[in-house]
Amino acid sequence: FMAKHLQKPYEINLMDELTLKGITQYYAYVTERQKVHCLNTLFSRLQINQSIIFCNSTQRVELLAKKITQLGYSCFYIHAKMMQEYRNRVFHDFRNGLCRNLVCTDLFTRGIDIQAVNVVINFDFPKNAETYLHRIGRSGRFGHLGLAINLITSEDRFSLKAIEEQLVTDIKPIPGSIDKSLYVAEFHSANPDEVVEGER
Amino acid sequence: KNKDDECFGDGMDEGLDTDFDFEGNLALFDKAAVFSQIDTSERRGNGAR
Repeated sequence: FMAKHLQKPYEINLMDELTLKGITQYYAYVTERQKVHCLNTLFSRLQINQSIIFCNSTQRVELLAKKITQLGYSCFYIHAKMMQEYRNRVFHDFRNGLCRNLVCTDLFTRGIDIQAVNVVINFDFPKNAETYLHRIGRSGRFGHLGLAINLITSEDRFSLKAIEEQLVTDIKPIPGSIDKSLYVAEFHSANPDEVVEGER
Repeated sequence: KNKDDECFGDGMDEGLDTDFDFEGNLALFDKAAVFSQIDTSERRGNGAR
């Protein structure tokens, strides 16, 4: 089973370098049709410092970026079909905080190490564990708090199960209200006594 | 592709001013039950071979 799904022998090394520690992982159950609505609500409810939103194709990155802009949120987008030089420019600008949201495909070879990114959204759930880890995981050096939200459709149920098992992790249903101390820097350690109600 | 139309096509902008119903949708997906169902069908698949 493992051999069938994990073809890369260096898998274990990557697991060591990237960690899910400090990342709170949730899923929302949606249909394709509901994804944009769901995302819009997440934008309005979450306290996002910077976010990265992953799609599974270049086409969908472009469509989603257009949609997000229409909804009134600023966003950049990058995917593999753009010139490397241009991609570097966009990524650089995003890192410098010129824009709050970045929509992209899987072009990060190793976890995202932008401190300001406190929310990662898998608009499209990935097919394998390695991709998931690359999107959500942080390299130990920058390991800090963050939120990962997965939009799960009925089709994704097999991938969800396989990824949870392979990474030995638990992706929980999204609660009615999300404890800000889990992903908002100022709330962490600032208010250790603040208990969230309605969180369970 | 079909999925892209469903996701980004026209007519899905309605209701965007109301909040998405997370709880209602989560109720449609019993993760534990779905997972054990996948397990069962996988085991059945292996047994048949």
